Order: sequence, then C-alpha cells, then structure tokens
Amino acid sequence: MLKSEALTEDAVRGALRSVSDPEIPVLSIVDLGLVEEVRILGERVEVDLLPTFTGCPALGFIAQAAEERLLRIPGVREAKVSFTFDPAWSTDRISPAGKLALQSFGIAPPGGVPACPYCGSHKTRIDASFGPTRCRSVYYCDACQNPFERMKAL
Amino acid sequence: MLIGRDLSGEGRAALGEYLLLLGDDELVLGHRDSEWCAFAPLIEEDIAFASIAQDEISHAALFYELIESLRGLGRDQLAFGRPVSEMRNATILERENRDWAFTVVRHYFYDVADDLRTEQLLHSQEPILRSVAERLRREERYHLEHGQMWLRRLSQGGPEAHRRTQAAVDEVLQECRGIFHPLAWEQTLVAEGVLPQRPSLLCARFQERIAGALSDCGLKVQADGGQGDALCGRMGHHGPELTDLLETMGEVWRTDPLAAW
Repeated sequence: MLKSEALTEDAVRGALRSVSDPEIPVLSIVDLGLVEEVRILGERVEVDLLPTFTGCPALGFIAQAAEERLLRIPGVREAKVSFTFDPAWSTDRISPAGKLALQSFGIAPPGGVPACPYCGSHKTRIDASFGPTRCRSVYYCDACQNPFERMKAL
Repeated sequence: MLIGRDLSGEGRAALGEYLLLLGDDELVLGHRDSEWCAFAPLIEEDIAFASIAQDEISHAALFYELIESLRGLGRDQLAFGRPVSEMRNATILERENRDWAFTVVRHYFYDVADDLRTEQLLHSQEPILRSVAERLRREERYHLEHGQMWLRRLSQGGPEAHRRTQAAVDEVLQECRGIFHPLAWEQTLVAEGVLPQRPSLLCARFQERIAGALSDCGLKVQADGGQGDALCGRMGHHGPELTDLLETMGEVWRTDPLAAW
C-alpha cells in the first residue's frame, strides 16, 4: 500500500493525459484545458472539469472515462469528477501542444487566419459558421481547394 | 452548483421564477429551430439551425439544472412534465415558423433581447450566474452574427424577400416586447443583488437596438399602436401553437417518465 504523499497532483494530471474528448481522440482533456482543479484527500481524488460547450454530449463520457482512469492510479480508492462553470472555459485554454494535435487531426485550431490542415496555406476563408458539430465551423482553402473544419473560438 | 445561498426565501423563489422564464424561452425557441432540420432552404442553414437548436436547448438544460439545485425539480420534469399553463416563455417564441423571413427575424430579435439579458447577468452578485452568462454569451455571439447576416441578405434580396422580411418585422416587433413583460418579483431580484436592474427596463434599449439594425438594412419600424404581447406567455397564457409544440416535444418522454435515457 502506497503512502498518500506518493499521490501528487502531477501524477493525477499525468494520468488524465490519457483521457481524451471522444470526438477528437488525439486531444487530451489536459491539453484541452478542461482540468481546473485537482484535490487529493487521502485515498480520494476529486477533479473539477470545465465543460467546453454547454450541454456537449461528450461531457458524460469524458467524466466517466476520467473517473475510470483515476481509479487505476496506485493508491486511489475513490474518484469523483464534477463539472464547474466557474471560471468559464474558453478556447484560449487549449495548450500549444493541443493546438498542434488539433491541426494534425485535420481541425484547424482557433486564433488568427487558419492554416489549411491539408496543405498549410493561409489562403483560407470561412464558408459556414456552423459546422458538423457545435464546436466547429467550415472553412475553405483557396490553395488546395479543400473544405476543412476549424474549432470555433469561444 | 451552488446558487442562491445568501438569498431570502422570497429571493430564492424570485430567482427560481426568473431561471424558469430564461429556460423556457430557450427550450421553446430551440424546439422551433430544430423543426428546420431537413427543411431549411439551404443545406448550410439546415446545419446552422440544427446547431443553434442544440445550443438553445443546452442553455435551457443549464437553466433547469440551476433550478434543480435551487428547488430540487429534475430538468426533464421541468422541460417535459409541465402543463402549458406553467410555461413561462414569451408568446412570440412559441409561434410556428411561418416562413424563412419570420424565422430569421424572430430569431435575430430574440438574440438581441437575450444579449441584453445575459449582459445584465454578468453583473449579478451570484457568481454562478456571472460565469454561466459569460459562457452563454460566447456561444450566442455566433447566433447574432448569423442573424445579422441573414437580415441583411433577405432585406437586400429582391422585392419578394424584402416584402416578406418587412412583413415579418411588422408581425414580430409588437409581440417581441412580451419578452420584457414586467413581473411582480423583478424588484426582489434587484433588492437582493441577483440583477442590477429590473429586466423589463431593458425593453427600451432592445427597441433602440432593433431600430438601428432595421434601418441599416433598409427596413422600417412601422407606426406603433399594437398591443405588444396581448396573450402574455410570461403569465402562463399561451395559444394552441404551444400546446401542439409541447405535445410533440414530450411525446417520447411521456411514454415512460422514469426511464433513464
């Protein structure tokens, strides 16, 4: 049995790196900026997550996956994941590594003129604000003539 | 979610009423938005309205969750289990979609009203209301831009589009004022710091902003003289259009209200 001091916030955050948004599997909830607070209370771990889009259908899956992952950390017997609205999540919370992961997955990250995820050109323009999911818009690349998706800036 | 801890019993009751009205507006308009799915005039709009409907219904769910932490009523029960006389949405939001111009005009006017209301919530002394408002405003910005774009496009889109848009403006503008119908408990919310001022006082700014947006598009505010919201949805007086909407929306839920979906 591990002593409770072996359980650190870094270990918890590290474990949560393997939990991802089911719709964007390359992006961990840590890089997405969802992990707001970690509390270690002996053998119990509590994590507060910030919901991305209100009522996003992925939230329930994310909370469940995070709890399951926390319970696999040695020394953790209880795990509780909750959502909090304070502070409000924004796309500014996505880490630089997260933005690269999004781009490589084919979704341009928010901020500035997007680079086409297929050819890298910045000769891109918005085609439709509302895309296939609530968090994405549709853009068009005038260089390679492909439509692509971009995460909306929130 | 912790809400209303420092309020009196009267303050909590008033906050519950206000959250219910906010949730009901979003739910009812969100349902009307969803009715465009597979029927919108362009595929992009089919997708846009499906997305906007999801946004509005999620916002309703959020307001109902806040009520749940205040009073312990479940959100599905609130959304699907109330009789029509307990619905607090403004009458204009329950109206059937009519045509595309009516849809665009009503949604845009509502988005302007909602923008003013959520801006007011940013100044609440309830921290959860401030952060919820901040969240919602980031999503609603896209609705406002979308509405502005369509209002301009329709008003400049040839004689028939212009005529229909002006007709929609004439129909919507009067009844839209019902969004800001004055209610008895508003003053309690101000007295207890939940809101900086009575929401019904936002109506003047609402009308100014709408007048500005219309004149930018070459549309007119026709001579007044109407009754505003004569039916008064805020007081629970609704028409057959809401009865039909609730019938459709709650049909599946009513087959087994205790089922876990």
